[in-house]
Amino acid sequence: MHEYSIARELVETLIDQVDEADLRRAEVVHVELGELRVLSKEALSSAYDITTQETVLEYSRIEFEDVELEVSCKECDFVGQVNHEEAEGLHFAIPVLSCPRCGGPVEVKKGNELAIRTLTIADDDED
Amino acid sequence: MHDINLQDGDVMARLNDLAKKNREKLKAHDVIAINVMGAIGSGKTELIKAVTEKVKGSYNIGAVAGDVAGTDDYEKFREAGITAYNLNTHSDCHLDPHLVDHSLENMPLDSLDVLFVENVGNLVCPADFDLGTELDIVVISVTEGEDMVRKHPKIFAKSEIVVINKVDLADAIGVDPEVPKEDYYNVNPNGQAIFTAVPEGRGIDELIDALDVFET
Ligand SMILES: Nc1nc2c(ncn2[C@@H]2O[C@H](COP(=O)(O)OP(=O)(O)OP(=O)(O)O)[C@@H](O)[C@H]2O)c(=O)[nH]1
Ligand SMILES: [Mg+2]
Ligand SMILES: [Zn+2]
Ligand SMILES: [Zn+2]
Repeated sequence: MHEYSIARELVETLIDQVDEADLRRAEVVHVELGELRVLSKEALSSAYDITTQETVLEYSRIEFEDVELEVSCKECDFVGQVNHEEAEGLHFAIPVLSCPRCGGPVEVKKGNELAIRTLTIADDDED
Repeated sequence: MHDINLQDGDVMARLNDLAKKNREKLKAHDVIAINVMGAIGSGKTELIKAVTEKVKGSYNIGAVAGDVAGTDDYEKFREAGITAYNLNTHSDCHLDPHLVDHSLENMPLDSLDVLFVENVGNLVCPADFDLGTELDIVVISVTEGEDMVRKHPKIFAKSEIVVINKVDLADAIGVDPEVPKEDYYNVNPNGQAIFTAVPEGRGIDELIDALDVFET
């Protein structure tokens, strides 16, 4: 469980870059989550809720946006998404880290994201 | 309602900056650091000792013993003649670059060639944190069963070297080490899986070759 340390980083990032007046009106923190991240969304959401209790961010919540894995091949000119392996007994497919065209080794272009894309805030007259 | 954009929304930015600083510091001192992740009790400490035993004639080896609590691994490294630093995370399930920075400050980097950073025994969390090490490896052992890779695919998809340890016990406990190996090659066809058995010294040379930091 490291969702609390991530929730702390998330709050720090917001405090660092957003005016306090806007933080007070924050409603939704839109978080991009790459496919290779092992975080649990449920655990991060509740860690965020607990971390922000009795702070300016108290009434905000996280919404996730999944970012699919994207690679570029080191041996051919393929750039794009990889194949997925369906594993027995798992509810999700496992990304295969090789080039779907030639089987070569790949470099990860997208899939490690853990970033705040935008912050939805209430307008003044809604307060 | 309206949306505002952040200048840099990367939540990991601060930690990644620290990882980068560690990487630069290690480089400035000519130290190659290896992050040894893996299941609890899979043999991380014993493998680091076994590799060190074979290369210590030509290389100065250091080790950071990352554990939630206690000094057991630290003492094992010390007894094996390895320059060691004890790093307790207290409740955290993983090492982060900040903790590694503390370790670097307390290690005689100028007199080291290779630094093993033994992560907390855990196949989930360490995968989310870049420490600033040059190389990341994962250790599992047959005693954890055949389905370790299937249960934790992401850490394996990210790791270019996977050690499947304790193969000396495979028959006795009825686990086929080929199963996790195949699972690993399915998610990472270009990676390298290595079978090891520390008591017999099996696979240690192969691991040293794969690490590609020691000239033998
Ligand atoms: N039979 C056998 N036992 C081994 C092997 N490698 C390690 N062991 C034993 O397994 C136990 C755990 O080994 P460690 O090296 O301490 O494992 P670790 O991964 O460092 O453990 P933690 O740091 O506690 O997560 C010890 O009793 C070792 O002697 C092996 O290849 N074969
Ligand atoms: Mg250990
Ligand atoms: Zn964790
Ligand atoms: Zn290709």
